[in-house]
Amino acid sequence: MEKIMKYVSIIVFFLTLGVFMLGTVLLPKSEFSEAENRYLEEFPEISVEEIFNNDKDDRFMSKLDSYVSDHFALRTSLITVKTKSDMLIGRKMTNGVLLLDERYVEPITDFNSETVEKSVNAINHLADVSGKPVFVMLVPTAAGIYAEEIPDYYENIDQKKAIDDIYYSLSDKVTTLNIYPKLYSSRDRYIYYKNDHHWTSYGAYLCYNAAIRKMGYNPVEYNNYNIQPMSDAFYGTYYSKALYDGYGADTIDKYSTNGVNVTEVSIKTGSETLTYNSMYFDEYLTKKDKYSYYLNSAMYPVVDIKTDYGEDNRILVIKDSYAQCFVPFLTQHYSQITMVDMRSILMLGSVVDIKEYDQILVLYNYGGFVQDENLKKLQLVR
Amino acid sequence: MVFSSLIFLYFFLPVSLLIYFISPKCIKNFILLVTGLFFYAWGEPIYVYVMILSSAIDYVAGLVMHYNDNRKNVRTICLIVSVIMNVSLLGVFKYSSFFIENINAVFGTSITDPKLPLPIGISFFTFQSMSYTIDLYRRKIKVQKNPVNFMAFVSMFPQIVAGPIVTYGEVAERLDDRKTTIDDVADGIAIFVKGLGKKVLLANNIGLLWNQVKAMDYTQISVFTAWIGIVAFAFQIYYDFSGYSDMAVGLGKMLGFEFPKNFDYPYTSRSISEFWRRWHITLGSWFREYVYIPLGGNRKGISRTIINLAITWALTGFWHGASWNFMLWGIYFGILIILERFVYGKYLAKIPKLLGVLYTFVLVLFGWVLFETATLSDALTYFKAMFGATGTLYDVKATYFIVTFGVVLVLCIIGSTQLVKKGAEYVAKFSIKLSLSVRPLIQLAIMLLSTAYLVNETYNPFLYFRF
Repeated sequence: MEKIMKYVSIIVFFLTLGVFMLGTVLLPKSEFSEAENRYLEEFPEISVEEIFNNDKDDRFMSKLDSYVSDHFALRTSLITVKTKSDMLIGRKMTNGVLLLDERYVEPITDFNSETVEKSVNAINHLADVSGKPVFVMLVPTAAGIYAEEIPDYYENIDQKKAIDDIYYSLSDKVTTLNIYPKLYSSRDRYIYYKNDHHWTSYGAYLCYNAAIRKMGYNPVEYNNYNIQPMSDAFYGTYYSKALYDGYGADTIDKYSTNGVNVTEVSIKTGSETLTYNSMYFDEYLTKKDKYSYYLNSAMYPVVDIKTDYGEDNRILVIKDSYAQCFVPFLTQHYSQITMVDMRSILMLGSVVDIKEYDQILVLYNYGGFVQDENLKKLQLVR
Repeated sequence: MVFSSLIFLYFFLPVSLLIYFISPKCIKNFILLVTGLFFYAWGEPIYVYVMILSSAIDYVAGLVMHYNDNRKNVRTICLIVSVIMNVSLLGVFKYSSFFIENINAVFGTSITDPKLPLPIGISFFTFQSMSYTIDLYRRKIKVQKNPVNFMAFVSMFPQIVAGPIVTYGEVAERLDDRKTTIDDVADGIAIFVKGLGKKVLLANNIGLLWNQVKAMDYTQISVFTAWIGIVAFAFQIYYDFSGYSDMAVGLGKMLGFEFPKNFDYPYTSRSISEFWRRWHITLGSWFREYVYIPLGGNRKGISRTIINLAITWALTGFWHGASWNFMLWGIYFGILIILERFVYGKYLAKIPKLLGVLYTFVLVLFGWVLFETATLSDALTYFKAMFGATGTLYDVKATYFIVTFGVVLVLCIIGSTQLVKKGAEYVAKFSIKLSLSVRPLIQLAIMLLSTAYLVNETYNPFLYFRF
């Protein structure tokens, strides 16, 4: 029997090697990994410069290593195996995300106070020179709202305090919208996605409801909305990091109401302008990045939304991706909403005429805000 | 190329083994040579020529020695040429920065440091190659006239990068004539897979703990953190290096060679002297054989023995790295060994086993602090932290480490003792069928899990790689 088992060992070993080798070589290669949300390595060029390159990381061999890694057979399943094995030995933090009982969170461990200071000064400057009412809404991430569920041996910034501190340092000309308490008191409801870093439309609705009064309007009541689930298979950014699907998929909901209608959505990509007649982009529902269903990808420099609201009432929204599912609620109160993403813009004044707007809203999630190096460009506004 | 990489495991290895197994006996050594050079050149496309050159010189030196068998002068010159060449290679590529820095510091000169990158495995293959000429000179071995066979000995991929340091005498017979049986392949696979698991699942994992502690401010860490940090490193370097050695031994077996064991449960040692008979065994053997004994060993009186020990251990430390930290590390152990030998060794043998193990482990831990911290002042600060200089015994970070790494740490501790081996023997006695049938399953599990971790990680340094 011992002899037989030795043969078995040998066969198992070489079979494993063979299966993965052939699998990696023969299986069709994809260019882009949906699960990991990044482009995969291409096959490196074989040339003398590439082989003898002085920089070890740029050599052919090193690139081939990455290529093999990226296109390895059963790659995503193997990463899931690793995450599950980690969880088995008590390790709940993988690649920056923490696996809580019911959701992922991404603890924020520190921030660059200089970056924040520059952004705050720039917003204060904008309020100063624009002559328009400026509102600021900083939205905590799930790690901020569910901080109590995070064991205290994980570093995790107290986002409530941090947001309060930032609000305090903004000038009197800025109206701060304090929505942390509203989200915190609703934390048992579906206000954040379990597998993605964004808030849900419901979380956005609650904050809209709490904040719009301060901006001068009465919110549309929740009962007046017809909520339609558009996808129940959303696995977002957090899922990408660990590939653990134990929380179940997230839902993408569409909120519609009888009232003001959207007449046109025009997206300025930088090189062209694309026009649509809806805020919702169905094509994303079948892709991985389902959150872009709301007003498409967040990175386009300028997005203009026109509605059939009775009077001329315009708002400028300087934002990050959290605004995508929030802005639809604003359509009931404005004839035009213009969203700008500061990443792709240098001078705000060159893409929009601030004088044409009645209000300005700055909307960021806390995690994005403390890292953002683009808000300081608002200092250039005259 | 590293053993613990997807490209080695799933491309280089199966292809090389296949070609090797189907080749007729007469070209097997040529296959070893070619695959070895390819393996080495993959990581060092330029320095592969350094390795080839050094082997060529030693091969020629051997031939000249052989054909001048009765002319002592010629033989001596060949020996000297070989040793000087090998030591110079090491001196230049590994130690030039160190020498230049120190010369500049002492003499106020400003010689520029060429900052030569270190060719992989140079500390291993120069030592291995030197053993050939030295043993040939001492007439312990016979010359190798076949250049292919000689080159195969130096460059074969299992031990070129990280040992074990195999002397020519240990493989001479098999080099010229060997065969691989089914048992060899099966046993080789078992040892190889065990090594892979040690490296990927244990070393890389517990290494994450040490990496975090290492980067912390040593004036702020709690006592617990300081201790658990260096314990983590102790296991990381053990499983890293012994895992790699296991993989080398396993691969050697598959190719028909019996490489010597490099680690023998070193953390179960009851004295520092015993520790160094169980840790990096082939290095200790090399220094004993080619430095300590030629210096006279213990045959020239107590004071000379102490001097010989001091020199040998200073060099052993220095072999590990081009800095004073490493030499100090070697001297540290040298002093302990001298003390054990001449002062309290007898009493040490009489204390309870567990105390002996603790004594050794703690002293080894102190050694690791010297070994791993960047400068001597960092080492001092770390020692202070271990003994409470920061004022905190235990903190929240310590809880984080226990929760995140507790299981891995326990596995590391158990694996470093003979418990697993004894457990397996017990199961075999209980039911030989169970024991045998479970083995391939365990091997498969280790392979798949290791592959999963390799796919996931970018962090995969081999610690002894700077050699």
